[in-house]
Amino acid sequence: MRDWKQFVREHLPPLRLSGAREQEIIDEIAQQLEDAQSEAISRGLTREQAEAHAVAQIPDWDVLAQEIRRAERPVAEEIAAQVPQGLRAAFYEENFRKRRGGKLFADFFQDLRYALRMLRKSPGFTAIAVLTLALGIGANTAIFSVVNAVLLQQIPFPDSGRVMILHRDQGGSIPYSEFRDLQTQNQSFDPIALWRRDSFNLTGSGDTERVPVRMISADFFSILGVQPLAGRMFRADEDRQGATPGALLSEGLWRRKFAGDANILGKNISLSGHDYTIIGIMPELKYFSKSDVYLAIGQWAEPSFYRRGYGFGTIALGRLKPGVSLVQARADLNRIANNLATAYPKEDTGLKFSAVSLRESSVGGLQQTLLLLFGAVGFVLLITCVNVANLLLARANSRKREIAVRMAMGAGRLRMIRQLLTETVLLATLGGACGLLLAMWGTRAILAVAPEGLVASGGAASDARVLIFTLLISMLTGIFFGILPALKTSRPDLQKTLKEGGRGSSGGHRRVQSLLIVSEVALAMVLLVGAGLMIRSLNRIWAVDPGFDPHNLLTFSISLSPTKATNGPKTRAMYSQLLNGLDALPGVESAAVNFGNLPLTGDSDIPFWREDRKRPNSENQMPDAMWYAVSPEYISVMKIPLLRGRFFTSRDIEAAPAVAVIDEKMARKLFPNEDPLGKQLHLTFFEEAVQIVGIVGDVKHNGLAASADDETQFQLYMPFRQIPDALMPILGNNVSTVLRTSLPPLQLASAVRQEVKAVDQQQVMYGENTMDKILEGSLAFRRFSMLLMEVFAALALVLACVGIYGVISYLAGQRTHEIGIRMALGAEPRHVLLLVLSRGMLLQLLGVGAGIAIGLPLMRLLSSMLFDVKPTDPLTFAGVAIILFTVGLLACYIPARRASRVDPLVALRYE
Amino acid sequence: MQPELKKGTAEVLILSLLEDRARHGYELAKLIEKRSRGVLEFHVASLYPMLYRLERRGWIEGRWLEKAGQRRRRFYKLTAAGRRALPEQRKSWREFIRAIERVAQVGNA
Repeated sequence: MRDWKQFVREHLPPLRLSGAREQEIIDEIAQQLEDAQSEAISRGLTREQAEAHAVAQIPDWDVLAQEIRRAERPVAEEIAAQVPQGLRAAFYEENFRKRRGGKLFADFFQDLRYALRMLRKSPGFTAIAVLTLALGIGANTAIFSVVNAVLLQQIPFPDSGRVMILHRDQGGSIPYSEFRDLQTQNQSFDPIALWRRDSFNLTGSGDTERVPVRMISADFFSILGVQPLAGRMFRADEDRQGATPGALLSEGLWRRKFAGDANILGKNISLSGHDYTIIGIMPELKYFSKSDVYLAIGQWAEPSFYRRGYGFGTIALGRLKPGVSLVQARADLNRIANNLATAYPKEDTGLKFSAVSLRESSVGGLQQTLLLLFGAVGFVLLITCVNVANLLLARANSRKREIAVRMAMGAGRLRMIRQLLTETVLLATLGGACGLLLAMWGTRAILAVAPEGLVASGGAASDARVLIFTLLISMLTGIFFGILPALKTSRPDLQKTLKEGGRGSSGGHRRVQSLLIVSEVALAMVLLVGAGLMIRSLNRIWAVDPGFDPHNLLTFSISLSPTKATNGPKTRAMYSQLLNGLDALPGVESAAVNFGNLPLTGDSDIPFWREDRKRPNSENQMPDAMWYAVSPEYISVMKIPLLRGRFFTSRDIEAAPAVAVIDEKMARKLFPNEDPLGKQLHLTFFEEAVQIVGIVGDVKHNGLAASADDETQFQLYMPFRQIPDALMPILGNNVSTVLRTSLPPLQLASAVRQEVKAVDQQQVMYGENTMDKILEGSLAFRRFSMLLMEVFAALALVLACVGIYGVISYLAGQRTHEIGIRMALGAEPRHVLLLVLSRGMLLQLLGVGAGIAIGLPLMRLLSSMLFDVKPTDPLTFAGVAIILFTVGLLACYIPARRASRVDPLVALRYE
Repeated sequence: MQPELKKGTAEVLILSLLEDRARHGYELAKLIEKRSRGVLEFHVASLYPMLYRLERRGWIEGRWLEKAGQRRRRFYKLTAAGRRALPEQRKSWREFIRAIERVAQVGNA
C-alpha cells in the first residue's frame, strides 16, 4: 500500500494554517484516498488501477488548497473578502475588537497599534506633522527649561522660603549702625545678618590678583544653613573691631591658589596689604554672586562705615522666626524704622526698610520677561496645533470611507473619537520626542545669546520636570489639535460616504478649515506685532544720545598698592603718575580717572544742599546727585560737551578752592531762574562747600532706556585731587579709568597692563572692557527678549504660510471639477486665479482683523519692555499687517496659479 | 447560478445526511453520489473544503474516532446550531427551487 499521507504532503501546497490543523487535514484527505483505493481493489481493479483511481480523486491540488484555505478563514474574513482592499484594515480592526470585547487597556494598545499602522501608511503626512509639532513643542520646551531653571528651581538652602532679603527703601543699602539696631530691636527675624561685596588684591603666592570678597556678619552662613568644609565660621566675638583678623576661603580659591593644602587652617593670607588668618574653608556659595574670600564685616577698619546713615552696599539677610509671616515682619520693620527716625532725626528721618524673599530678590526682574516669552512661545504652539489640525482635516476626507466602514460594523462614535485621538496624541508624542532633541539644541542656543544675569540666575536646566512638561504638553497638544478633526471625521454621513467613494469635502470641513486659517493668521499677527514693537523699541533706544561718545573707549579698574597708597597725598601722586604714563602710550589719545562710577556701571549718589538755603534736617530730605570725582581730561576723553563756564584744569588741586561742574539738567532744575555759575553747594561727605564753575551736558548714566529716572537725576563732577585726605585711600582702592584710543580698544589692554605694573608691581588692573560693550550689555536683556520674539515671530510666519498654502491648495484641489467646468464654459485663467486668490485674501483679511483685535489689548502686557513706542503703535500694526498679508498672498498665489492652469478636459475626466 | 446552486444543494445535503447520525468524509461522498443518483458527483476537492467551511460556521463538528477493526477517521456530526439552521436552510432551498421552477414555467409558457 502506498503511503498516502506522504503523497498528500508532497502534493498539497502549504495551507498556512496552524501545524496541528494542517496535519489533521492531510490525515483526513489521505484517509479519503486510501479508502478510495481499497474500495477500487475490492471491486476487482488491479493495484495499479486502484491507485490511479485514488489519485484521480483530486484533479487539481492547487484548487483544493485554495478552497481549503478559504474555508478555514474565520467567518468574518469571508465577508471581509468582499470589502475593497483599501478598507480591509478598518474592517478587521472593528471585527477583531467586537469579538474580543472592549477592555479599556487592551483597547488602548490596540488603538495604538492601529494608529501606528495608519501613520506608517502615510509617511509624508506623518513627517510634516511631526516636524511641525517638533518645532512648536521644542521651542516651548527650550523656554520652559529656562523658566524651570530660573523661576522654578529649588533654592539650594534649607527652608529657603523663610529667608528674606532686607534693603533700605527698595534696593538701598542698610547702614551698619541701623543694622545693629535691627539686630537688637526686631522680633521677626532670628538670626539676621549683613553682608557687602568688595574686591581686594590677593598678594603672596604668584601674581597679585583681584579677588571677589564678601564681608559678612557672624550669622550669614547659619541663616543659609551652609556648613564649612573645614575649620569653622566666624564667632560673634570675632565680628567686631579689634578682633584677630580671620578669613574664610572658598573651596575654589583654596584648590586653585593653595592646591587644596590640607594644613591651610591657621596660615595667613594677605589681602590689600593686611594679613588674615585662615580659619575655615567654605563650599562654593550657590545662588549668590561668586566670592573667594569671606571676612568678618564688623572688623572692617573704615571709620565712615560705622557712621549712622552711611550705606556701603550693605544688604541684610534674615530668617523669619517660626510662625511669623512676611506681612508681620514688614510691620515690625516699619515700627523699628519709625523708632529710629524719632531717635535719630538727623540721619534716619524718612527711613524705610523693605523685605522680599530670596527668590523674588534674585529673579524679580527676570520673571516678567520670562513669562512673557513663555506666553509668546505658547502662541507658536497654538499655531502649530492649528496647522496640524488643518492637515488632519484634509486627511479626514481620504479616511472617511475607512471610518464609515468601521462605524457600519458597529463602532460607536466615542470609539472612533478615541481612536482618532490616540492617533493625534501619538503624533504629538512623536513630535514631542523630536522637539526634545530640538530643545536641547535650542536651549544651548538660547544660553549662548542670553545675558549674564540670566545665566547667573540658573540658566537652563534639563531635568525630570522638563521631560514631564514636554510629555504633558505633547499630550495636551495632541488632544487639542486632534479633537476638532476627530469630531468632524467621526460624524460622516455613512450612506453618502460609502456611495460617494469618499470624494469631495463637505461644506462643514471647508468652514472649519477656513476658521483655522483665520485664527492662525491672527496668532501670527499677534506675535509679529509683539516682535515688531520690541524691534522698534530697541531702534528707538539705540537712537538715544548717551551724552558721551562710547566708541573707542577702553575702561578698566585700578587698585593701588595698599602698602604705598596709605594717605591722600600719596594716592593723588600715584594716580597723577599713572595718568602721565598712560597718556604716553602709543595709540592712547588721552586717559582719565573717575573715583565715582562710570556711566552704566553703578551708582555713587551723594546728598547735598545749597549753601544759600537752610540745611535740611536729615540726609533723607536732601536731594542726591550722581557724583563723579575725575581728572581734568575726563570730559574730553568721554566727549561730554561743555555748555557753560569751564571744566577742571591742572590748577584745581587740593590746595585750590573747591570747585564743581554740574550737568545741564541739575542747572535747570535746581536753579530755574538763576545763574548757577558761582553758586555754592555743600556735599555731605565734605567739610568744605564747592563752587559751581561750569555746566556740561547730561549723561545717560542709567542706560539709554532709563528715561524715567533721568528727570530727577542730577550729575555733579569734582576734581579727584580735591577729595578729602581721609576718603582718598578708601576711594583709591577701586578707581575707574577710561582712555580714548584710535586703535581697537581691547588691543591696548596688555600695553596698559604693563604700564600699570611699571608704576608699581602691586598695583592691579582688572575688569577691562570697552564702553561700547558696556552699553550693549546694558541692553542685553532687551536684545535677548527681542531676539527670541523675532525667532518666535519668524516661526509663526513660516508656519502660518505653510498652513495657508496647504489649505488653499487643498480647497483649490477640491474645486478642480468646478474650475474645469468654468473654464470649459469660457472662464479665463486669470478669472480662476482671482477666484482662488480672493478666497485666500478674504481669510487673511479676517485673520489680520482678528489679530488686531486680540493684539491691541494683549500688547499692553509688553508695555514695560517697550521704549518710546506705544503698545498700540499704529505703524507697527500696519506694517505687520502688510507684511503678513503680502507673504500670505504669495502662499496663496502658488495654488491659485496651479488651479488656473487646470486643463478642463483632464479636470472633467477626473470626475 | 450554477455553482451557487451546486454549493447550496451540497450544503443542505450534507446537513441532511448528518441529521440522524455522525458520518466520515468518505461515507458522505459516497452517500451524496448515491442520493443524487449520480447527478451530483463530489470530488474530494469540493467535499472537504465544504466540510471545513460548515465546521467553521459552527454547524457541524468533526472528531477523530477509531472504531474497532477500522482505521482512525474523522466523523462529523450536526451541532445544535446546525440542527437549528437545517430547517431554515431547507426552507430557503425549497423556495429557491420553486422560484427556479416558476421561472422555468414562465419561460415555457
